[in-house]
Amino acid sequence: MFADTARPSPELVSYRERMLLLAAAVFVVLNRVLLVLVRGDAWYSLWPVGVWLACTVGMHVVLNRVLPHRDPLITPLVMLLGGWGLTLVSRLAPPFEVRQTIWLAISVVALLAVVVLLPPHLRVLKRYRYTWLLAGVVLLAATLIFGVNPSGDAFAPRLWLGFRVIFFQPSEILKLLLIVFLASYLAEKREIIVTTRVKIGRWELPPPSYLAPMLLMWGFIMVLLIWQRDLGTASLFFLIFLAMLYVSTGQIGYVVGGLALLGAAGVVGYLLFDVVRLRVDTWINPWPEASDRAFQIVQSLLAFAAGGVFGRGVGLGAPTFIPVVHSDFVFAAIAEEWGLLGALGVVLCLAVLVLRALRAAISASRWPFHSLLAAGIGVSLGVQSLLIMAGVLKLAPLTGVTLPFVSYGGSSLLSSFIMIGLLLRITDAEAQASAAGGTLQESLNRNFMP
Amino acid sequence: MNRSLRRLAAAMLAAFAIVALTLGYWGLVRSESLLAREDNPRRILDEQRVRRGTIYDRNGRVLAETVVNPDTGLASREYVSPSVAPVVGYYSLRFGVGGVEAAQDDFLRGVGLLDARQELVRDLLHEPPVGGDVRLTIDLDVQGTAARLLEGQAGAVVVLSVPEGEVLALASAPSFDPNELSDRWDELIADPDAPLLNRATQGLYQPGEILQSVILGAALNSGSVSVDDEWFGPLSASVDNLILPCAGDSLGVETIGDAFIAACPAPFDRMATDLGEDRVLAALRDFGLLSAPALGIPTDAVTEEEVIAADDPGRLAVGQGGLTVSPLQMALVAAAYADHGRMPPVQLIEARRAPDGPWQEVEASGNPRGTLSRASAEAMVELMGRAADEGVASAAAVGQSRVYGHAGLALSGPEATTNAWFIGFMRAGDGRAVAAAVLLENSADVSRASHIGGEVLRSALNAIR
Repeated sequence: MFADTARPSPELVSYRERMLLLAAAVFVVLNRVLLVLVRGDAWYSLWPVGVWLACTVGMHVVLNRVLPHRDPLITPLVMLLGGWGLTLVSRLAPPFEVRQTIWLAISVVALLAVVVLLPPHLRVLKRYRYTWLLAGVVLLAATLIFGVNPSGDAFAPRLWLGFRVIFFQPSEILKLLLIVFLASYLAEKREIIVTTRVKIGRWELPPPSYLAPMLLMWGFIMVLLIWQRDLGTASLFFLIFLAMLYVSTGQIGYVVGGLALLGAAGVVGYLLFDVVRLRVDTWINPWPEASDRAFQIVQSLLAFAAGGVFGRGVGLGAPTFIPVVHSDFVFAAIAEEWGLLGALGVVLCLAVLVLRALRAAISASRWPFHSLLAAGIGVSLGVQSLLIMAGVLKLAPLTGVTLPFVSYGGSSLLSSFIMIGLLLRITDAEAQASAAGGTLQESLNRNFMP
Repeated sequence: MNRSLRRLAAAMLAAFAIVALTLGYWGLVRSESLLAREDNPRRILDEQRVRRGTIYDRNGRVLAETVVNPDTGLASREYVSPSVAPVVGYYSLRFGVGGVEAAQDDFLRGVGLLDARQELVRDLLHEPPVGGDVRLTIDLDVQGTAARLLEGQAGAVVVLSVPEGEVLALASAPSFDPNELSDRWDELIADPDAPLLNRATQGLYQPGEILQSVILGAALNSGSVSVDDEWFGPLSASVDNLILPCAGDSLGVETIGDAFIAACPAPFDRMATDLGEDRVLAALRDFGLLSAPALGIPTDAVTEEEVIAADDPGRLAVGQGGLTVSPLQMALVAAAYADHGRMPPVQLIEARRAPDGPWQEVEASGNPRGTLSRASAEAMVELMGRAADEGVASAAAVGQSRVYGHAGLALSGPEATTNAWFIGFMRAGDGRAVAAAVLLENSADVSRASHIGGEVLRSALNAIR
């Protein structure tokens, strides 16, 4: 996975990606056709899979021109999951299918815009980190003031910004901005953070002046998120923060201390918030309340049990007994209809995607910003996947984050695709640079400078 | 930085592996116990997909069948007539199964009818499970006649073929319509008349005077008494300050045989005392009154210990002691006399067939059992013929074919209500016969019981001819 072999030619990259995309297309089209047959739908209801095919082909063609040295595994994995997700939305929540298809197209366009418009050095991201930070804060503040919930429930968390019919979850973009900011900040300051030490009694700590802005920013975000009771996103942000701190400093103490903090926050949350108490109680022992508070998680486990090895077949299970199955519990629906094999397939796809991102981070370690950005993206996708999969499997308290690329949700799809765009850009830049040889500065100058 | 990245990658991989293992835990290890949970909505969906087998009567007429809604693919159960409810039972998603539907549930659902390979193919093709068919010994006409005759009257009718012991009809009233079970469940459960109770097989009643055929048969068999023995004693019996009178006309009763024909209880008290407790109990045992018949659907009987614990043989002999019997048991007593003293094994399930398979006969469980000598049985048959001609059961005799029968009263329960009994049989002429038992709750009308008995016997005779 991490072995740096000789760099493949653009033709080979394109060929590999094409073959993998073909396999993904076979799977996606086959499942969608089966769904049409099972439900007895009209054939024109296959149009979303046409959009998906167009997106896939368009992506492949554009990437061949713009990023000839990209990692050929990433796009097929993402499009497989995205196409699967489209089928699942159609299966589980047909009214949302049109919306999700449009979001997929928008996301693919956004990904291509990122790779076309952003030069390989990504300087604009790196240099204007405080601008991004400010943008994130403004976005969050706007949500706090103008936030709505599309369901119209007055007591539901207001995590969306609404523009007429379009609802957008700013925390998804905030996640992206956070990763960019952290990557930029840590890339610049990490050596100082690691080498400078302040002694307080027996403890050696980094100088507060360097950590303070970061902690402040993080604290601000956390407070706002907890204010909004979006605890899944808050824990996700926190874990991304910890992982990137660990990667840049190599000091496990941050992780240990951070997890302790998270645990303490959990205890406080348990005492203060009903929603946290609910999630923790139903995680520890859902069985006595299976028809009441723990209905969702118990129905989710029943879906996993009902799937068996091969699943009940697309459209033939009964996953819709799980409330909001199409966003939070999409993994359970996969397990019921595609069985253990399908669910393991999803786990495998996501794991490989995360490992490819971390591999890109290792390969690009000569450029700390690129490396940290790739690592942040990998960690973000990985931790988010793990949080929701562990949640629906009763392995961890349930957090309402989406399963990347698969769950219903436009904002999540968009931010995930933008991350993939950045990741593809990094893999391509790194491969070109390492091929060109020489120092970092030379390769940057030779290849990327106008 | 690379070292920490590799460690991070390893940690992520480990976390994904844990998720994969947990998938296996819920999907394989815990799968079965989870799916068996009451709150698993898939159980109802799966249940509605099952193409449950059809239940036929002895002539291939449908008693219960599953009808599939072509739009939803979901199946529902339909019953040809409410009259079959006591024997066919019911099948309900919410309230479970009863009767033959319960007893043959696995076969009707197709459990175990496919081998592992076929089961896998069926599962992969998502074909609904198809159940096997069951054919009963019931005759829909006889069953309908019995149910109709019981209308408005709590009671039970059992009709058997002799010597096969096949149940031709098994009626219990009040009953219920299995097609409306789900809508009326609460009402049925709360009803003090217990319409869900199968009185024919699980209702245990004081036999009262109808036990005379067993006591007299045993006494004749042991030689302690003879039909022509004179009797000058009292005719009615007293039970707990209540009088159990002769059910028939007691004028001119001079012998033991006369007392039987008029169903006068007092002489049997004495007869049992002379026989002794052991021989009375042996007779009850021989006539199968101390064991539940193996019918395939639930049947009840008292145990020997319960009978012994209750009282002395004299009170037992007038049918007012610890012994209670079901109409099915009394029909078997009638069948034993119809077959010259041999009691047939009882049978309700005639044949079964797997989907697309041939009918396979179901063997009766058990062998005919000897009750008393042929001579004693013939003497009893002669008396039963006279009882149906001119005695207590004369209301049974209508038309040319001779009815052999007996009828009687029994005091029942703490309020000392009266129940009326009839048992009897008719011969078909080719060594075959039909036997029946009738019980009417809260009725002192032995004529009505005998009339119902005669009607169902004639209907059954037509059915087996």
